[in-house]
Formats: sequence, C-alpha cells, structure tokens
Amino acid sequence: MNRWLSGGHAWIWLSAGALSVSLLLVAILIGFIAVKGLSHFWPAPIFDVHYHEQDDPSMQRLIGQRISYQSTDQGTQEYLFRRSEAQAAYQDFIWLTDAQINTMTQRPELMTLEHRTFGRLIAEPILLRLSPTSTITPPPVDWPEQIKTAQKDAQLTLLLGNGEALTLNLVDILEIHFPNQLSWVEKMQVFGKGLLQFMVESPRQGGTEGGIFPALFGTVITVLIMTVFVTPIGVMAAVYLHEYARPGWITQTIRIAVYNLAGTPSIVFGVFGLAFFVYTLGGSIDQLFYSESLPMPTFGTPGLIWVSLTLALLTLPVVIVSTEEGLARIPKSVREGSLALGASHTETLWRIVLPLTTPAILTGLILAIARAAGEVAPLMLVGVVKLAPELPLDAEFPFLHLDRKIMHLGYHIFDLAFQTGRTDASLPFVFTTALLLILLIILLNLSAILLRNRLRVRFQDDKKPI
Amino acid sequence: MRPNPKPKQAKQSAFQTWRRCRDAVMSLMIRSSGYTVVISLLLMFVYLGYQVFPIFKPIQVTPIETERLSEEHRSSFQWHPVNLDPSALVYRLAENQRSLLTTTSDGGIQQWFWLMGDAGTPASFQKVHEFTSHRAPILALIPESQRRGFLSLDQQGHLAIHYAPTGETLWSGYLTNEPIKAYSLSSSNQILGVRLASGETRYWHLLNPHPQISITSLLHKVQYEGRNQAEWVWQSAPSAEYHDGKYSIVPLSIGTLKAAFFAMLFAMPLAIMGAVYTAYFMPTRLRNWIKPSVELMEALPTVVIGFIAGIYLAPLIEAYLVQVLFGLITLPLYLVLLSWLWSIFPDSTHYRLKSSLWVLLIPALVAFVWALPYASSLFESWVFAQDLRQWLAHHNIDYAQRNGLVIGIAMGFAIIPTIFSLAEDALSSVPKHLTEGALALGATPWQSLQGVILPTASAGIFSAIIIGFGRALGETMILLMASGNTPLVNMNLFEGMRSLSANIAMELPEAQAGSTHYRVLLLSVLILFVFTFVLNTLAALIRQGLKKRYQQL
Repeated sequence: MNRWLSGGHAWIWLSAGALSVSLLLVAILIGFIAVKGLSHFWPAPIFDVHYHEQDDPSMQRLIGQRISYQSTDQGTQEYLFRRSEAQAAYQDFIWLTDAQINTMTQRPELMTLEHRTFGRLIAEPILLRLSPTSTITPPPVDWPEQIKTAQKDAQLTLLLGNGEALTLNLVDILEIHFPNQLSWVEKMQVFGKGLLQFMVESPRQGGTEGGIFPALFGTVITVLIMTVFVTPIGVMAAVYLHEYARPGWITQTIRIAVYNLAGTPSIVFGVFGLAFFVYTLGGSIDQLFYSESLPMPTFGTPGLIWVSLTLALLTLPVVIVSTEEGLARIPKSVREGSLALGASHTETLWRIVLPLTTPAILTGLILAIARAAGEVAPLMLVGVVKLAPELPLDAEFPFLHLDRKIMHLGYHIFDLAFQTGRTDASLPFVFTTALLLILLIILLNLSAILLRNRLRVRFQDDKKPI
Repeated sequence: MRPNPKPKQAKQSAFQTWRRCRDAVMSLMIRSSGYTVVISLLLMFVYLGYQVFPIFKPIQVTPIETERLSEEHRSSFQWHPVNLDPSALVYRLAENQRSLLTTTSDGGIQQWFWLMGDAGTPASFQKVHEFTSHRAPILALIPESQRRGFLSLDQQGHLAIHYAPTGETLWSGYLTNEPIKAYSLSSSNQILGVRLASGETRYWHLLNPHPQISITSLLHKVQYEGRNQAEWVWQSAPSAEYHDGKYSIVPLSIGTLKAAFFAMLFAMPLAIMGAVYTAYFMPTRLRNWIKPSVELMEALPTVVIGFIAGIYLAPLIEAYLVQVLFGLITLPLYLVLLSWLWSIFPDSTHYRLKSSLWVLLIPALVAFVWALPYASSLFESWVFAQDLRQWLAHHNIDYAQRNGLVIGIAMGFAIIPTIFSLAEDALSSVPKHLTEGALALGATPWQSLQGVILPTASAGIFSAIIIGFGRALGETMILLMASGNTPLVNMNLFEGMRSLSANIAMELPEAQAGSTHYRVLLLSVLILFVFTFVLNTLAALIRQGLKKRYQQL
C-alpha cells in the first residue's frame, strides 16, 4: 500500500487512462462517421413488408430498403426502412419493431431507381412496355437486362408499397439497381459508383439526393486562390523577419504578434473580412469600376475573392511560422559561405536559402490549406452560401468569376445537418461529406508531417555544413 | 547589405549594376511584404476600433443657420406649441400604453411602467426611471420617431436628450435664454427647430445615431419596458413592439466564459495527464506515433465535432444523463482502483507488461463501459431515490437538451489536442540530466516527475492551458451547433448558453452595415480579439521565459 502511494501508481494509471480515453474518443468519432457515411452507398437489401402502425391494427404494406437494425431494450429487433418518397410524402424513413411486422420478404425483382423528378423510388416492377404492342411482365430471369437494353421510349410500370401504380418513361430514369440480386462484388461496384457519383454530382432535392460536387469544387478553388495570395506574402514576410529585420525588441514584438494571429479566433477574421473587405474595399471597387450596375453590388457583397482573402489572412501566420522555422534550421555557415564566394544577397536567397527552405514552406502551405479547408465560421460571413447556382469557373469570360458566391464542404455539413427539415434523409449525406472533409484534412496533415520529418532528418546535424 | 566591391571592367560593371538593382528590388519587396503583414495586423485592430467607436461618441448638438435649410425642408416641419401648465404634463411614450412620462413642477421627469404585479396583485403603474437634468418646469416632452428616446425642454431654454429604456440622460445643455413658443423635431430625429417668443426660428442639428448604447446598457442590468426587474438582456431581433434592440453583452460574455470553463474542466485533466504519460512514461517508439496522431486530431474540423455533438451527443446525454455523469466521476476512481490491484501483482508481471500498460487499459475501459448502466442505475436509486431528471425538475433546475455538459465534452474534445501538444512539448524538453539525476539519487519515476519535471515544466503547462482557453473562447461552430444559443446569465451545467462568437456568426449576416446592431457585434468581435490576443501574448512570453530557463539548466 505504501509503495503504491509513493510510486504514484494511481497517477500513472490516471494519466495512461486520460490518454487512452482521448485516443478512444477520436477513434470512435472517426469510425462512427466513416460507418455512417459509407453505409449509405452500400446497396441495402429491399424487403416487401406487411406491418401495422403501433396504435392501428390494420395491415399496411411497404417496399423499402432496410437501412439498419438494432436491438431494443426489450430484446426485440427494430428496423429502419427507407421507402419511396413518392409513397410517403417525406416520411420516407420509418422505424418498425418485430411486433409490428407481420411478414418481411426479400424478393429478387424488387428494385431501386433514380428518377429525374421523383428522386429515389423503391418499388416492385410489374410491367415493362417496350412498344405499344409488346410488354413484359416479371419475373423473367433476364428482367434487368431487358430494362437496360430497352429503347428509350419504353415505359415501366411500378407498384409502390402503398399499392399505388406508377408508370414512368424510361428516358427519365437515371439508374436502376436490383440490390437483392447483386453478388458481393457487384455490390462493391454499386458502392464505388455511388461514392463517385456523390463526388461529381450537384445536390438535388435540397441536398438529400445527388452529390456535393459544387461544395468540393468551391472548397478547392477558394483554397487555391488563397494559396496564390498567402504564399508570396507569407514567405517574404518570414524572410523579412528572419533575414532582413534587425533583431531586437521590435522584431520580436512583431514576431509574437504575428504568431498570436494564429491563435486568434477565426470568427474575428470573418468579421474583419465582412466589414473591411466586403463592405469597405468591395464597396469602393463597386463605386470605382461598376458604378453603372449600382445599387446592385458586384464586389460589395460576399463572394469568392473575399472568402479567399479572408482565408489568406487567417492562414498567413501558419505559413510565416513554418517558413521561419525552416529558415532557422539552415546553418549560418551555408549563408556565409555563399556570401563569401561573392554571391549577392538576392542570389544567396534565391539559390541557396530558399531551395533549402522549400520543404518547410511546403509544410506551412499544406498546414495552411488544411486549416483553411476546415474553417467554416468566417466563411459564412464572407461568401459561402447553402446553394450557389453557378460554379465560379466556367467558359464565359473572364472564366474565373471572383465575385460569385460559392458552396463549401464545411458549410454544407452545417447547413444540411441543421437547416433542412428532413434530417433522416440528409444525415447520410452529412456524414459522407464530413468523412470526405476529414479525409482531405488528414491527408493534407499527414503529408505535412511526413515532409517535416524528412526536413528534420536532413538538418539533424546542425553544425555540419551541407 | 554590404556594397559589392567596385568592378574594374566595364562589362562586369553593367552586370554588377544589374545585380545591385536586383538586390535593391528584392530587398524592397521583402521589406514591403514584411510591413504589409504588420500593417494588416494593425489594420485589423484599428479598423474594428474605428467601426466600433461611433457608438461611444458623445452626442453633438450644433446650431444650424436657417439659410442652410432649404425652404421645402423648413416647410415640412410640424410645429407644436409648448405646454405652459407645467404640473399637468403627462405623456404616453409609446402606442402600447405600457410606459408613460410625467413631469413635476421643479423640472423632474419620471417614467412609469405598467407592470403586472406578483401573483394576485393587480397591474399598476410603477415608477422606474427618474430624469433630473432640469431645474425649471418642463415645457415640452418631444418623442423621437422610430425609437424610444425623447427630448425635454424647460422654461429656461434647457434641452436634455434622454433614452427611455435605459433611463439615461444622454446630453443636456442650454439652447437659448429667450422664452420658447413652439418646437419641431424632424422625422429623422436630427433637426430640432425652436420658435422663440420674438418670432425668430432657430434650428439645431442633433447627432445621436446610437442612443441605445452606453456603458450602462452594455454592462449593467437594465429594466426594460414590460419587465418587472432590471436584467441583462440580449435581444437584437426587432419585434414589432420593441423595435429598439436590447444590447447587453453580459449574457454573451457569461455564455462564452461558461462554455470555455466547462470545456477546460473536461479537457485539462485529460490533456495534461495524457501529455505527462506520453512525455514521461511512454516508450519512445510509441510516442513517435502518438504525437502526430494527436496533431491530426487538432486538425479535425470543428464543424464535424459540432455536428456530432448537436445531433447525436445531445440526445444521447439527455437519454443517459445519469450514466454519463456517473461515468465521468467514477472513471478516475476506477482507474485508481485498477492501479491498486495492479500493485498487488508481483514485480515480475509488472516488468513483463510495463510497456503495454496502455494497451491493457483498453479492455479495462470496455469493461467499465459495459458495467456502467448497472452501476449508475444503482447509484441513481440510492442517491436520488428517483429518476435524476425528475430530481432536477423537483429542485427547479432546468434542463435543456443542448447544454453546458454537451458543450463541455464536445469543445473539451476539440481543445484537448492543443493543450496536449503544447504541454507535451514543455514536458519533453525538460533537460534529460535533471531526471537522470533524480533517478540516480533513488527517486521513483513518479517522485522525479513530481519533484523535478513538473515544477520545471509548470510554466509551459500553464501557457498550454492559456492557449487552450483562448481557443475555447473563440470557438464558433461547436457552440453554434450544440449550445442551444440561448442568451442566459447562469452557470447551470444543464442549460444552454449563447457565446459571443456564435452570436456573431448568427446575427452579423443580417445586421445592416453601420447600424447600432452591426457596431455592437463588431464591438463583441473586438472584445474577443483583444482578449485572446492578450492571452496568447501572455502564453508566448511565458514560453519564451521557459526556453531561456531550459538553456540555463
């Protein structure tokens, strides 16, 4: 007992526990997001279910995908079904317990299809009209092939779960799957394809269908434009602080102030961006160059350029800190050697110092990009919107439209999770978007960490000139 | 920049000139971008300050020459005769009849609210504010249009400008010595016309764009119309009835501090103890893995954490409140118990398992989570004798789904990596020979940690805590999504809050540039900015001092 106390074992265990809990929390968070996000694209089996409502004994029927199931406290099973929106008037997600379900059959001909206007339909096909005279009724074995090879003027009649029949033109059907017939490999293919489509399509139905391409594109383009601003200024400012400014309390104060900017709440930058960039700077630009279109603002309203500038200001300290760290790692002897050989300051800087600092600069840039990609709060103020009608880049002169509003992954998460009424339908998309954002940021950070490690190895022995 | 030696040949000289030019240009560019950064930093402070300043600007009342007002403008004034019977002046300030003003013969003005009494007592007029800037009987009470300010004129030609909701007199001074016959206030509240007994008409320009804002209204409790007592209120949404915003920054500041406090309560022990373990007890190979993964954790977008906290964690905690609270309290005790059990085992087992203690903990934690529901329901029935939520309701403790507990866990989770990584840096850069010396003198690892490392690194850990606190103050998305955003003034763990940052994110897009609301929001940004800047500077100075000390050791 005494030894236990003096050895501080309790404390050691507590500290080990603290670390495990922290890491466990991260693992749970990321795992949870990954499972929730990815499972949405896995073709879940379709069931034909006869059930009754909790308080109403009359039998009802639904055809729906079984999204997930869980055991309840009473030891029974509970299932989450997704049925066609067209059937359920936005009540497309429904939880049913064992007790409510009478029969649950998984027939091979049940299908899901994406319709241009109705969205996703989950139904039983009953009639395929290839031409006015020739019709096919299931279940022939080659039923899927028949549909896929049919002429575009053919019509398909479906039976929705509530007994309602629906006849659709094949032209309007974007995609058809028969999840109950798919093998494991085919399911993987559908999964991959769904994921890909998610990345390249625009959101439909208020973000509950389609993909997130504009948000992804918006994120990438803001970050790229930000890089254009932040790289030269950040690197040169770091060079100024480290090589040109006379060391002394003024430089030290500036350095601390700049470093502090990294810890300043991002919302402060957002507000400054809105007040100064958008209202003051943008307003002046409008009065000088776009006065004919006033009072409709061109640049005096939130837009892409202001998002990028705000992000550039936000990430400036990251680049400066990292570059300065890199500059500090270069042995003095290298610079002195270059100068002694008659090279001018510019030549030393361009040919000797900057090439050696490149990995540090890159590290800083990647970290800056990672930080910028994850920011949301400041962007809400300076130009990110829930739905932008046009991409900021198109074939129309001047091609890159700096004044347009954009969509952004982070804001898309916030918007879908909190601003849409249909949480059940939008949540899978939120999870996938979150997963994508996290992966993007982890990837960026990992590459920054690897670069930094390489850099450390390179300069491990500071005394030895290279 | 030393000048290059003078070249001898002409051809070389041209090249040298070019080189020198290039040097100069380069130097200019680098210096200017250095200055740009410094200037943009200063600009942020100065610009925000400049935008905020007008709300504190004293009111200016300047006479205007009659000729400067156009004929049309002058003819648009509506003239009202002054009241010469001073004892009878009663004025309904607003259409809703809940507030009225009365004057006394010695120049006093009182404001009365129509207030509902406590249970049972009938509603009545109660005196709320008193304005005592006049020494002579009041001639006129002039309401401002569109807002709840009013002007008062007395027989000595003394004018005072008041703002009724806060009960403050904003300006007072003499306009004229001559008796006044009639008055008129323009609909913009900016031009006051006075007709004198001599028949002369004079005009004054009143510059009073932000009457709502004063130190009182921002920081002190104010009794607004229809409220029974003075309160701190943040209510910017202009409803039809009360279209003057109520801008007290106290609820927002309290909300910010409350959120940061609970987050620190959760994050500090986890982060610092985790850092101690990583820096001191963990094998180096494992440490090389742990550090980057924690850094990765720091990069997790807070919008994702906020989303999980708001959509999943909040209902989860609501459903399993006892389990969560009980777990948070008993987990450390459980670990202490485990460590005691561990010490009973013989040393040989310890030695064999030492480096994988960390791995062993995970099944132990799983077992803990498994046993938690049983233990906590036992605890609940034993301590509260009923459901915890009922117990809370019984003791008048409100419970909101998105509350301080959710924020504490979610935001605490977000700031763990910040504190962890800085604290770990401080701990692991304590010179090795210090610990080795302690160990050589026979101290146990724990004793050398306690006696040597922690005191040496304490300043660094403190600076890590400050930085973490600064980050918690400025965090926006988690609070926006999971705090409920109710501007309350309390420290109840089970109620929500509204922080400065979330408030800005919500309201600034709707605030009209230049309006009072806009400027108050910018003021709250400035407060946040200055506060975090001071905190970060403090932390930076501490770290610098520490670095010097390490070098001396």
